[in-house]
Amino acid sequence: MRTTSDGRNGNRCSSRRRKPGVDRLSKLPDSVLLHILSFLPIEDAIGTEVLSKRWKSLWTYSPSLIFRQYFYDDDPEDERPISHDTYTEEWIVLEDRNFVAFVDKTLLLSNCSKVDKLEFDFEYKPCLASKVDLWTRFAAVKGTEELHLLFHDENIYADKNRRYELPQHLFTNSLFRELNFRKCRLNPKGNIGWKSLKKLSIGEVRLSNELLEKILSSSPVLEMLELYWYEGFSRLHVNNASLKKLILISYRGPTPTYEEDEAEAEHDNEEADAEPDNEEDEAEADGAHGAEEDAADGGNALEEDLADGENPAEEDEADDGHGFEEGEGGGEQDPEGLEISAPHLQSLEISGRLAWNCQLINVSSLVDAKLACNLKSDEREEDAIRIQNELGGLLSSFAHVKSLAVGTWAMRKDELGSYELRHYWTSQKRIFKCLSLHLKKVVFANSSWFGYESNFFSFVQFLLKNAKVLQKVIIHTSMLDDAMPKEFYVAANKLLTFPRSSPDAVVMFCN
Amino acid sequence: MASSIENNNEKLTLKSSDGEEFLVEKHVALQSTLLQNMLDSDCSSADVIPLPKIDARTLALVLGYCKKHADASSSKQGELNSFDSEFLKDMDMGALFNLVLAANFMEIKGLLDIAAQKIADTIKDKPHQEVREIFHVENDYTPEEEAAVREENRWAFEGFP
Repeated sequence: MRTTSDGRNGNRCSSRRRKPGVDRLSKLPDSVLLHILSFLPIEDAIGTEVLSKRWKSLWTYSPSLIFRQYFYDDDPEDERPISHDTYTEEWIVLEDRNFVAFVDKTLLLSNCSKVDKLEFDFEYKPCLASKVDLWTRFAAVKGTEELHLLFHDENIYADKNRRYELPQHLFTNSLFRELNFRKCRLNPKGNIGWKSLKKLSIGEVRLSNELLEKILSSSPVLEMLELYWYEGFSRLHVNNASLKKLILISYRGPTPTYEEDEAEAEHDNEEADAEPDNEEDEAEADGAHGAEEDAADGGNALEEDLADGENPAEEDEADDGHGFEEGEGGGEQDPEGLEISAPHLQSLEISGRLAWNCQLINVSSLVDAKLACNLKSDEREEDAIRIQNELGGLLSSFAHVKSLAVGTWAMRKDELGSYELRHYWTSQKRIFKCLSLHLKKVVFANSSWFGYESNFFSFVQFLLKNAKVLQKVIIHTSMLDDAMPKEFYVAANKLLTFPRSSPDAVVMFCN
Repeated sequence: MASSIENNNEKLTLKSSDGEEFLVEKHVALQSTLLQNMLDSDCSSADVIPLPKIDARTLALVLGYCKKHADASSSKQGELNSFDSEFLKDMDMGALFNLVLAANFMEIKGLLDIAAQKIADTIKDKPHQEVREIFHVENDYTPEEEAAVREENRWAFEGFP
């Protein structure tokens, strides 16, 4: 609702003449009205005061206060043509002065004895530290259960060591049920006491193995952990029986640090997997692969060999045109690889870049696996075969998986490659427990096209033939039109008629 | 709700304000915190549970929502989201208010959220007068009072577009 000085006199008279309807909105109990207000931007909620006396000061009892410095201007009247600078034009940024004053005044007027949810999403500058300290104390005083502190850097050159350091009282607050921290520093000096915490998201914060361990062991009822743009740790051992869902989005370490917008683009970037890797990278990755198989202790290596040269030693060779910067924290060395063990986990989502040399040690309870990560392959035969082997390894570790989503990294969709690669999945008998008992749904993201004699085709064929309780195979194609090569339609038709061991299985192509 | 699935053969009867009875599977009823608490406190499930504030039409809608959410597993979140957005799509305001009140009374958080969101979306970005007309809100301020309220909350709009 916009506060415009609309029809203060004329309209009011005309509305009096209309047949009066029942005002069911104003008759709703306060709790429901406040719930409705919590879905409005705060300034709109404040604006409702003007409606009638019933609404006067009502918003001040709202148990949810969300402050965002960035507003998307989604005015439907606005029909400006979409241009390359639309992005900057349509986001309205409140000046710091205005934003801080707005937050201060709103908190001052808040009448609610318990503010369940607080969110601050804004550009942080070191001079605002004392303000933010006060806001977090407000959260403590008001018994806030859900706190989102989402900071933005002033610019990409901002000194990351001067990011906001969370005050210690946040770590000992046992009321929190949901926390989300972005671009700040976590240095708990004493114990953490997140006894009620169910959901934790941390993004662009440097974490160490010790800190993660401390957090996990201090959060006995944690159900969901999300780490986005993560770095600084090599071990993620989750023994919490309550933790059912783990989301990992875009690994950020150790060396290449891109500009903000590039990192964001990367977030969903699943199409770049065709980029050829650097030869030297590959050689090293292969070498490491053999060594780590032993270390994996019967587990499965889910290995990342990004084109960008994750290993600091490869920095010299890796040259993909991006300017390299030293990683966050200057000289701090990131531990290599990432080892994930989460025996109680039911749902795992990995997207964006994956930490180099990531191993899933124990995910035996997993039901739902989304692997939209870039497990880049170069164009070479050996690497493609290696990835097939790893996919096979994953399938055998996913003993109870019912739903599997696979990004484009895994398979070759053209009809190139050796006979061994093209017929990898159909040339020999492979038995996976999840196929015979559990797997019901498989989704392939962004399969641009594929041919009948391709490696991808052989995998789908394999699934249809062996997955005994399969219900759905969904193949997302970025385009479904005449632009698709003829081979795609030939292959698609064959797949649709291919024999399947589950009579209920359907194959669907979606945009 | 894992525990409820084991007993999903149990059923209970809900009675609407206009006397219609609905036989509901227990795991569906458990979507409602109110009913869950009643069942936990061992109000015998053989009895008919009266819901004197909810008419049959609304109760049918509510139970449709509960059934969909009780039956879907967590892995079908996308499907549930699209169900939710369709659920209220062409609903008239009267039905929407009945639903929001029922969800509030029966303590069905998900349903309360989507109904409240829908009402909030109707309010959002509209001039006050239009909101008043849509919801028949009678402006009981005098012009002077209204001007004073506007002046009073002007601070909130400094710097906003």
